[in-house]
Amino acid sequence: MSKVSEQQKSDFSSEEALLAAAHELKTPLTIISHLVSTLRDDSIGLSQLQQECYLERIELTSERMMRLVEGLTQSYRFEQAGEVLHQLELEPLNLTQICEDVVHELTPLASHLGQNVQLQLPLKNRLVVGHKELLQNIITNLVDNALKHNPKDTDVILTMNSQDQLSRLNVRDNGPMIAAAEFKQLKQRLGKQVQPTAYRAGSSGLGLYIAGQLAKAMGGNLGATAHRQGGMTLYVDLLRSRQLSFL
Amino acid sequence: MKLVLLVEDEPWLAEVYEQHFLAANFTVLRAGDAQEAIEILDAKKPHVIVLDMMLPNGNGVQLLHEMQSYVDLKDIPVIIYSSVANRLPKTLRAYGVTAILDKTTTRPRVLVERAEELLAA
Repeated sequence: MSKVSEQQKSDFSSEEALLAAAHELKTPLTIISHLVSTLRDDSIGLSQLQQECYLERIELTSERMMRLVEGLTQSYRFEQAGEVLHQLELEPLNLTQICEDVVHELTPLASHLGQNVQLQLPLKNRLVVGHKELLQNIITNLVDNALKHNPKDTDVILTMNSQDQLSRLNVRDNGPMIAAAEFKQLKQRLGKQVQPTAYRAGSSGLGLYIAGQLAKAMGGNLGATAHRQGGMTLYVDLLRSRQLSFL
Repeated sequence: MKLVLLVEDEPWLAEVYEQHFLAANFTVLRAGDAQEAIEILDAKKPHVIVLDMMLPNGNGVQLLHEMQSYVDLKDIPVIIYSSVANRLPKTLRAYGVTAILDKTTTRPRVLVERAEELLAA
């Protein structure tokens, strides 16, 4: 077991967090409100199948909001209470297993969005040092973010590579291309501040901020790579575990 | 037949609006961003456009600018249906915008009623 030794300070003010959270919750709340009003409107004549689909979307959207609020609470707790970070106990974790769990949880959402999440993870060197709950939250945020920007009928792909002391988990989407100047700014601020970007509408970047904060809390790091043909890979670097893989 | 173009990047919302317009006997065209909207407008001329402002690869204002450059597009009435409606300048009316509705508080049924009123006027 190892312990994180110092509190990570955020560049992100409480006021910004509040504004970003309000902005980020507006769209899902609008979706729920419009789905409910449509379900209650007899003149629309939705089929039984459509009604069930709309109910499922309400459920998925609520879960998405809940994950965001939970991540924000976790991130705020680490930011405010240094002693929690001092006591954060890290352990060897099977990254492949955690990714599989996250993908399993997000598959209904991906399916409703007409997308697929592909896992291309190795069978060996898959142990990292981390905190299970935080790591689940980070990966969930990265995959959820990718699903938000990935076009219909394309895949979000999770891969992993290891070098020296680090293992890198990559989450690749096929979203719109980003201008070089904008990407440079995004990289500098990733995980430190909200990331509202013009090319990715409607997102305050709060989810990525949360993922960045949680990664830092475990001694990890969040980063991004833009692709010439469009889309982006967001990655999290984690410490590799030297423990023999029996997990 | 009344033809409406919905420009909305959130597919679940676009689908809901479509259902409401179909129920009111509109024919519906859908675009997920400004570029796609322009491509549709090259081929078809809707009677009314419902426009979200925060779109990927540009925004609603860029589409409005583009439409003003073409004689056959500049007079198509536009209803802005956006979550940032309260922050939009009134000057947008100079770009063919006939109504600005807050999509967080205005139900899709009201949106359709507004479109029908516009076409009846």
